[in-house]
Amino acid sequence: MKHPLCILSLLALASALSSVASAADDGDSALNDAVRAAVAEAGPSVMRIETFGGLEKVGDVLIGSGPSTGIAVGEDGYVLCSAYSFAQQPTSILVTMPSGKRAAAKVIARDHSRMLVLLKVNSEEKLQPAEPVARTEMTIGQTAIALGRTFDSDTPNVSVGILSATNRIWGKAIQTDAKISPSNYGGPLIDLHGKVLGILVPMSPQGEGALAGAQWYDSGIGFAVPLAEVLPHLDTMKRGEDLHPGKLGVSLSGKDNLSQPVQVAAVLPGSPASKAGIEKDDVIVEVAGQKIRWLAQLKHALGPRYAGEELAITVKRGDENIETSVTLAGDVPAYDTPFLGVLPMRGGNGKGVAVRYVYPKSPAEEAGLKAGDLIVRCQEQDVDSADQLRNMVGTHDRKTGPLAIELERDGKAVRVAVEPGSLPEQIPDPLPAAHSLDESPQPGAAIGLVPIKVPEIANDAFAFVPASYRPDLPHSLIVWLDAPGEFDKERIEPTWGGLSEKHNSIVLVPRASNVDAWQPTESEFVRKAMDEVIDKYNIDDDRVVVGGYQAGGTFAAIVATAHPDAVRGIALVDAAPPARASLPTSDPVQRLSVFVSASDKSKHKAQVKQAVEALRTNKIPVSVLSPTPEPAPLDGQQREHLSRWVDSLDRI
Amino acid sequence: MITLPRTGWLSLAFVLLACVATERMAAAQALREVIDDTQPKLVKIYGAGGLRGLEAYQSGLLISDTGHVLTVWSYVLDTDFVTVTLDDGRKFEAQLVGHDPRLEIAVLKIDARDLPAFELTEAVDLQIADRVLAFSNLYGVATGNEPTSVLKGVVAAKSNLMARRGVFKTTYGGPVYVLDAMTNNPGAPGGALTDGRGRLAGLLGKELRNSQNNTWLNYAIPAAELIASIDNIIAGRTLPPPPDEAMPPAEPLNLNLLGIVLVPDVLDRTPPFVDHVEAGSPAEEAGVRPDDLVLFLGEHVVQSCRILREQLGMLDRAEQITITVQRGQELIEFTLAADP
Repeated sequence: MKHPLCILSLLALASALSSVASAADDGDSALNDAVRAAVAEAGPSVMRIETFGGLEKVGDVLIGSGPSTGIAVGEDGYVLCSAYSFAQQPTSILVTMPSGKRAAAKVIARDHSRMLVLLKVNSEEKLQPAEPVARTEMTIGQTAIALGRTFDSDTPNVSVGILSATNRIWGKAIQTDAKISPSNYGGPLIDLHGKVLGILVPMSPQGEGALAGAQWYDSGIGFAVPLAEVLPHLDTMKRGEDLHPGKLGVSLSGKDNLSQPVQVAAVLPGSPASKAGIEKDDVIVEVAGQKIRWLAQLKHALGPRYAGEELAITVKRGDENIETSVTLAGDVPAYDTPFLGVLPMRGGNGKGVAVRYVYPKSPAEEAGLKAGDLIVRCQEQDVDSADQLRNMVGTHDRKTGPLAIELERDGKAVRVAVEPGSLPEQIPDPLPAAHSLDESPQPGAAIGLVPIKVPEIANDAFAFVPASYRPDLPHSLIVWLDAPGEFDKERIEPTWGGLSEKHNSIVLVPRASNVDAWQPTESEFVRKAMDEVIDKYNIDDDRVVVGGYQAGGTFAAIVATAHPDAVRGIALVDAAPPARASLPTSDPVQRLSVFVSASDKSKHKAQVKQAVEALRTNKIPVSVLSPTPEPAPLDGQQREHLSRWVDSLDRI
Repeated sequence: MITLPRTGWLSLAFVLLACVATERMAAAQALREVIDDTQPKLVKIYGAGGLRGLEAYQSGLLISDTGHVLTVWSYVLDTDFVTVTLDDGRKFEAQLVGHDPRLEIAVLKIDARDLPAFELTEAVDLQIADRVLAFSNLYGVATGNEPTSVLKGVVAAKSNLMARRGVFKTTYGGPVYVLDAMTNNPGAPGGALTDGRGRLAGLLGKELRNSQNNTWLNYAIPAAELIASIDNIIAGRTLPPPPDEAMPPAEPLNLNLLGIVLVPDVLDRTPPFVDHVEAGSPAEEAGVRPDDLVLFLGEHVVQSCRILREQLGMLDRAEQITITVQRGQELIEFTLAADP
């Protein structure tokens, strides 16, 4: 403080504050007036939107058909809204103009990154475009007012709160404690001057899709996409071009957000990263001037970027820093995970990986590998574990030629070169034993039907642990989700007991709290129940599968998509894939395989067929059982197939 | 140029901040006094319920110093033994004075005197964004002489509760204050909505879902809507039963009479597209064409074939109707009558 002006400004500040404070004696009337003035300022840009027709339900979420809100962004009839209101694919859209007249509107383009929709209204009447605030001018703690136009009223509906955070959802959103719900999704979050901080949307850091995050309505956590960051892309959208999240096209070695360094496990062929010369094993150290130390920072740097944007990236290769520039892409060709064609023996330790089974017609069989071989080296590196070998094969760059494999067979060294293939969809024939361990030690943990309790959650869950369980042998985990209301504790053992024994698996059956439907929030409960089992028993993280019949199967897919770090397989039995949820795509580190059984008479036949095709395009192997005559839960033989499929997921 | 030692600057700043802090504390003090004055006017009501998620309690507010209690009419009062607990912990058995089935309110009477009470004649009208306080026994957490809970919020909207038939499941269709405060919880119904000075503004309503967008609705019925009905109940005047809007007329209108054939109704929410129009029918004469999408019947939104049929069934065939259709990107209005 070096200048007398400081005194003046301090005095001015003090008097301003005290005038607010004294007026506040009768209930913050000065703030009320300020809020009303701001609402009046922004109000004309807040548009009421009505949608007609379309689906009653999207996935498990009941969509109301009531009015929603949008923001005028161009005087010539352009209105920006949340994709939430358009998830049900309405047949007709009406916008109420400032004069009170309704006019028809149509969807011009979508922003698939921030889940927005741009409408064009068919009317000559001029709109008042909203005025945006730059993110750099926002202060955490400033008053933030959420507006919607969903009630029958001349004035927008108002919720008052503060700005809680300025950099959320991987940089895409700001956060407020004002009450955000379908009553104001699509409306603006404004400041006390009536300028727009952001457009209100449901969002979740985990999920994607138009409905993700809607379960958090009115909870003290609400999100808005800064309008100032969408407007520069408005011209693209006006041309009818959709905006897509910008992708780099690498698979990373770390699984969780705090893993470091951020090392490239594989570069997807034809991806922006590949074109920019990024290679396997490079460590990403800087993106667009931001230092990257852990995975979350990379997500923050890439999150707000659209496809087509150019970024400077620095990678560390050995001791050298290499600067390059990438143009992000919306669509990256899926990664075709290289596959050798063997199943490893389990429970061994020490040198090499013993081959349990060789897939017929696989690259391994063609190269002459046999069950009983011991793989000791791969690409001139010693092999110590199946995980290590799987990772080396899965991230192998095909451009560099075949894999050099060194075996021990009958005490002799054998060298073979294997040109890897793709992950198989066929379910192997009955398999040889997966281990050659000595007589079983004590299980060391509860066996039979074991209740699994998750702290602070009321739902029941039971795990069936076979009597043959031994802690030195990694087991599969099959999480089976019954359709809500179909849970029957007494049926678990008769249904799964024999198969658990035979295939060394533990079956976890969680129970939906509601008999009508699985709630999206119960995904967390299922995950926690899985973690409890993984904590207590020796579970092979390559053989964790979530599956279910009908609504249980649909929910299984939701659980799997929400937890790609933990789930390696999804089993859908006569189940519709989740509507409009983005389908997973292949990743050599977080692998995923899908098992499908559906009847020719299934209601969901068309959706299932479509999902299977889309998953295959995404290079996810889908094993489809021959269709049953009538929709039904799996019979004994089909469960045997399922168990064998799970048993084979540690394939290399 | 004035120069002050560094500590001088700091103390000046401190004094200024202290002034501000004092003002703030005064405001907090005022709020405290308002709450202290208001809470004794609230009561806790216990009655029937306790089964299948139905809570056996709700809130109420004193509207006379001789023990008249205003609350919502609900299953809680559906018993011979309704207990009212005052703010000071005194318990009374309450008598039902009467209720208004349209507003879903009831007045109870307890045998007590010199009670603090809201003055209905001093009730205030609120504007959008006005700061409000909501007093109630939310979740039944207050027992005995524990004061009721206070929530602070603003008026989010003023709207008619049943803007359209069948949208909200309630018999009351008048204006409400939609609140930016979480009042839609067990125990809150029957609580008081006041302005920042503790003056009564409304009665917290029963738990409702806004079925337009499937979210819980936080709302209060404005005091002005209640006063006449309360006077009637206390005076013992009988109230007319609510008009039964669901009664269809003897000779209802239907699509055949208008000459409109819709597309087959195959989905839960099949959009009401016109499949064809009968030659020489009122619809053809008015200019309705195949592929027109019916959006409004009068002022009512028509979301599906089923809703259009239901709404027509509520109209008499002698009535002249207006329908708004979408043809391509145009909205067109037609006036039709079955018997021209």
